[in-house]
Amino acid sequence: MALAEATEPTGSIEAVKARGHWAGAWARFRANRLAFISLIFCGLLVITAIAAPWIAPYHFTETDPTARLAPIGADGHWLGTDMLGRDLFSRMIYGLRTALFVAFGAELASLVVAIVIGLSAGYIGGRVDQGLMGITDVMYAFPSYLFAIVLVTVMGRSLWAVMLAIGISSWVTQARLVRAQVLSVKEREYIEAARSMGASGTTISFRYILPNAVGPLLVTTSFAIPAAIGAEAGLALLGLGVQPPTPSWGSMISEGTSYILAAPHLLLFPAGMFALTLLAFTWVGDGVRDAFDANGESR
Amino acid sequence: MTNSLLEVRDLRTDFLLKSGRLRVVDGVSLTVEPGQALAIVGESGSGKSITMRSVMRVLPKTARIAGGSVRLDGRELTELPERQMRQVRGRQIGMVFQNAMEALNPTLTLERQLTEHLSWHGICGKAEARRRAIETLGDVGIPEPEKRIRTYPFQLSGGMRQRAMIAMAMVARPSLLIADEPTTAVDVTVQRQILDLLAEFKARGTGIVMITHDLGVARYFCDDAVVMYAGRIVERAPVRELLARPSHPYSTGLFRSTIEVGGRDRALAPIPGAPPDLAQRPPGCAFHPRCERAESVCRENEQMLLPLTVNGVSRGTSGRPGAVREAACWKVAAHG
Repeated sequence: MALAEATEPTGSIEAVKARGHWAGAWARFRANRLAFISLIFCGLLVITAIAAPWIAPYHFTETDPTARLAPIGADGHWLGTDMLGRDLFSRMIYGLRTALFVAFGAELASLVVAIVIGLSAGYIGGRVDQGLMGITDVMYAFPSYLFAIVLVTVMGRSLWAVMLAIGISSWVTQARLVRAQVLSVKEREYIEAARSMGASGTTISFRYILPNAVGPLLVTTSFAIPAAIGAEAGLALLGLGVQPPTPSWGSMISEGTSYILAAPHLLLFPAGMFALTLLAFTWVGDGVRDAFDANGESR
Repeated sequence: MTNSLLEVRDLRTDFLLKSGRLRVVDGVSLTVEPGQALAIVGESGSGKSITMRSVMRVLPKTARIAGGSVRLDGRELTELPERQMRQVRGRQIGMVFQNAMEALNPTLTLERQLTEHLSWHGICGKAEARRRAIETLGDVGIPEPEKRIRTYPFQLSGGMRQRAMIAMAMVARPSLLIADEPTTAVDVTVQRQILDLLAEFKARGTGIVMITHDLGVARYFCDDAVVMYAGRIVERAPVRELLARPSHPYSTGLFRSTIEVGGRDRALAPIPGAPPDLAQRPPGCAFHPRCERAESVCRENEQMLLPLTVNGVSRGTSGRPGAVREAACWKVAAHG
């Protein structure tokens, strides 16, 4: 309270221009150079992934029998080709598409599930809370890779199966976080104030509790995305990723290891891009976390 | 007395604990007339806030109204279905909280917070709600309300925030305003302005219940006062008389432990001890362990609110119809 008073703009009304709840966090994020550059890089990656069919010079299944294991700078294949003569650059772009599609899809799905479950458990409480948290705990105790293996075996190695396998292991922690947030926000006086204004339960949960509970969720989600990218590659490396020939960085890395002496670029480029992508997304996550930390959540 | 704005009769509220029921409001009766202000005075934990939350039925999950009646404009509230009760809250009863920073949603602009409930209650449309919100913000003394309405609560100063919250409570023009320690969390300079503001609403006919532990605040603009101790009313009197000659030993103690500007000649005498744990309510008069005038009888007999005898009562009481003086102490009831 005292801190908020001190840092408050006390000047003219112009200084108190309508600024969103998120504006301060955004300003702090932008001031963080590393995070901001990472965000731009991630944005470029996303655009590349979306526009893959237009950017990639070849389709990922297209083979060039005249140029197998072509080195970097080869004619028509500036990053070379793999053992089947497929263009590495094109396959990496499509691999990025797979990685981001799976990661964002899985995190979006897990976010929705986590919000529904966490909000119901926290807001309704009692038996609903016990039941939902019981399920969550069971899921939490289950080894996530084992779950992924079972799921991929049952559903086949489709994009959706991989997405589901990753999403399922990720909603659990998110749901617990949402619940904890809801429990603390629920006790705030503005919830009581809303009740005393005649707000209904639905209004209170979605207009009053949820917006005040999602801040930390954004932080965990921004860290969950690189984790999901890593998990996708990890599953592919184990042969549990998407069905070839759909490219995945994990399977490309795994194939590349077989040609490490003959054609090291087959390993180095996918592995390098993978590392860079992971790093960039993690730095964005760092930036998001710092931006919200400074927000004085302790208001 | 049939036309009272708010009439609470023998209200009882329990907390359901694992160890059993804990009565936190025990047989409270009070009346508020339109355009009048009632102060509920007492220490923390005396049940004053829970009493008014019972009236609005915004109690914590573990609390239940165990009995009694609450009538607003003659309409019984304790038996109203929750849906209809929601229409009463915010529309007929407004509530002002102690700390506006805490009581305003930080993710919504003032406009949203001031207008949303108008449409929940179906009072008016969006444009009209906005017009009313701006008008009310102007009423509570916020400069340039059409600009301020777009700001978030944390962009306002402490005093402005408190005003905005009062505006939120008043925008639907409720007939009853409950103010729960509205001046405790603000600077003294702002305190006076807030009280003036509430007094203005009172002058326009709004009935006000002021929950406070500050007797000065009570005196500033309340007409009547009830003093609560351990969930019960121990004294009821017009505010001026209560302050001029408190009769219940607890009221006397409360008055003597209040710091007053310029009151250096009056020694501060805090009440010894602490309010009782309601789970172990002292037998007889709940105040007797802390009372300097306690006798063995006080330990044995429960004390009822009794009218004070005429010869000891100052002239003021007869000045206003409906003014009552009662105290729950056999000593003062007998001697005045």
